[in-house]
Amino acid sequence: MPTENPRILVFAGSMAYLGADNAGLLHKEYPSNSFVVKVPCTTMLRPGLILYALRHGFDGVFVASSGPDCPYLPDCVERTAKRVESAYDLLKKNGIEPERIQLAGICSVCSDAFANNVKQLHSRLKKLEPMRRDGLLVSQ
Amino acid sequence: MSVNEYDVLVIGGGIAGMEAATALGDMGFSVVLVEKEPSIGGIMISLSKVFPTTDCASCISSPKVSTVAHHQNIKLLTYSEVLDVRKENGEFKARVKQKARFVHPEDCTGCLKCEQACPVMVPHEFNQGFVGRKAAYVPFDTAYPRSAVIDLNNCIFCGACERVCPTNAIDFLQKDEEEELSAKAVLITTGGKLFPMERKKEFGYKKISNVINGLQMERLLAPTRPFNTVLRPSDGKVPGKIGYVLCAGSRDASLGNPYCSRICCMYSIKQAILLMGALPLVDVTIHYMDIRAFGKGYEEFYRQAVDMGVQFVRGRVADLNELENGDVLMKSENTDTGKIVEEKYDLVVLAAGILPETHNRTATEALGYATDSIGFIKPRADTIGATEVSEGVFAAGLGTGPKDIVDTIAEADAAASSCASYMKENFGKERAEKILRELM
Repeated sequence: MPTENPRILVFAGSMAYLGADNAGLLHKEYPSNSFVVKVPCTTMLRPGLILYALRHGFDGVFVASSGPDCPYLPDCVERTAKRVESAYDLLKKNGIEPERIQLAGICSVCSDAFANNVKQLHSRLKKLEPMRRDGLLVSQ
Repeated sequence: MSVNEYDVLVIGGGIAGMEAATALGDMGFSVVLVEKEPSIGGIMISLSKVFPTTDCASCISSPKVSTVAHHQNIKLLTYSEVLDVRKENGEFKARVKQKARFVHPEDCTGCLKCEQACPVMVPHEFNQGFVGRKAAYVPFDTAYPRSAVIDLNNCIFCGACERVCPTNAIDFLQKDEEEELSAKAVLITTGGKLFPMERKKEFGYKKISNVINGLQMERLLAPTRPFNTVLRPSDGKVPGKIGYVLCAGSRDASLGNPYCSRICCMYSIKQAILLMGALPLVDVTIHYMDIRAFGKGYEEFYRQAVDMGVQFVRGRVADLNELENGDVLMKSENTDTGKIVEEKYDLVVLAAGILPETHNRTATEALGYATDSIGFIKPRADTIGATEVSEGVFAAGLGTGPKDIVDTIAEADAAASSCASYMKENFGKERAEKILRELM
C-alpha cells in the first residue's frame, strides 16, 4: 500500500534553514506536509533522532546540511555524511528502508534545491509503505 | 490620508538600509523602510561575489532580506518614494507615494504566468540589459516581495496577464497612493550608481558593443547569470582576451570626478580571478594607474591575482576603437617601458566609478543636510560622528561617499547606533513612560 501524503521532517542546519526560509519567501512549490526543524549544525544530529522521528509519525527525514558554507566546521560535509551513514545502518538493523533519508547541502539562497529535494523525497516515499507508528495513530 | 507613527524612517532598501533597519529594529525601535524599486536588495544582491573572500554576494544579502521581511518592528514599503519631508516639533512628517504596481502583492503567488503571457519584451534592468524581460514581470529570482509588477510605460494593454492570473491579483485600475507618516529620526541610505561611462567619449561606451562596464561584467559572472557563461555582447563569442580600464570615470578632472572611487581596483581584481576560474584559457590584462588595495586581506588578494597570471600594466588608456570583427583596439601607455602600446581585445571592461544617487531637493532642504559638489552627503560640521548629517538625520552607505560592502555595513551599523543614542537622548523618557503604561 503506497503512502498517500507522506510526512517529512527536515533537519536544517543554520545556513540550510535560511534556504528553507527563502523557499517560503519566494513562494516555491513543495509538499505541504513537511516540517522544518532548525539545528545549529547537522554534524551533531544523532542517528537515533532520525530513527525516533520515523517511529513517531514521520515517513521520511531530510537532513539539510549547510554544506561547505557551514559557519561552524570546515569539514561539515564529511562529518554529516558519517552521521547519515550510521543512520542508514541503524535503520537497516531496525528493518526500515534507508531510502527514507535524504541528505543534501543547502546554501542560504538554495531555495530551488531545497524545494526539489523535498519533492524528490516525497515522491520516493509515496512508493513505500506508510511507516508503522508505534504508539501513535496514523493521521493524514 | 492616514498618519502612521514610527520611530525611524529609513530611506533606501539596499544593504545599508537593510542592515540599519534590522539593527534599529533589534533595539526595539519601530522602523519604516521605504524603497523605490519593486524589490529590496539594492546593488549587492545583483553582484557575483564579494572581495576578498569570494563569497557569494546574494547568499549573504538574501538572509538579510528575509530578516527584514520577517522583522516585527520593520514596516516595509517597496515601490514607494518619499515625496517630501517637513519637520514639526522635533518630529519628521513625510509624504510617501506608493506607486501603483497594478498587482495586489498580497494575492500574487509569483507563479510567473503573467510573465509568460505578456507579449512585450524590453531590456532587463537587473541583468544590465543583456537579456529581455516582459512588461509584466517579477524583478528577479530572489526578489522580495515575490510579486509581479506591471511596467505601464511599456504595457500595450492587451490584458493577457489579467486573463491568465489564477488569483485575479492584477488590477489595472490601481492608482498611486499617498500616505503621510511621522518619524522621530530619519536615516538616509539612498546609495549610489555607476558613473555613466558614455560621458567619456574616448571609451565609446554604448557605441562600441564590446565595451561594457563593471556592473555588466558582474552580471555575466553571477551565479544567476543570463547566459550561464561569459559571452561578449556583439556576437556571443566566448572572449579569449579581456582588457580592464581602471579609473574609468574617477580620478579624472576632465569629467569633474577628481576623487578615487575606492572599489574599482578591488572589484576588477576579483572579476579577473573569477574570469580565470570561469574561462580557463582567458588572458586578462588590467590597465591601472595605481592599485589601491586598502583593506584587510586586499593586498594578498591582489598578489593572488598576480600569481594566477593576471597581467597588470601601469598607464592610462587613451582611447578605444571598434574593429570590423567586433574586437576592440586599445591605445594605451605603458609607464614602465615609456612606450605607447596598441593592443587588440575581445572584450573591454570599464571599471566605472561611483556617483551618489540624486536626492530629492525638497526633502534635502527640509532635512537640512548639505551635499558636496558631486552630490555626496556631507557630515555635520559640529559633530565628530560622521554619520549624523543634521539634527535627527543620519546617513550611511554609498550616499555619503564611495565605499565597499564591508565599510557600508559598518557605517550602517554606526549610523543605527548614533540614531539610537539620539532617540534615547530626545525621546527616551517618553518611550520609557509608554513602556511603563503598557506594563501597568
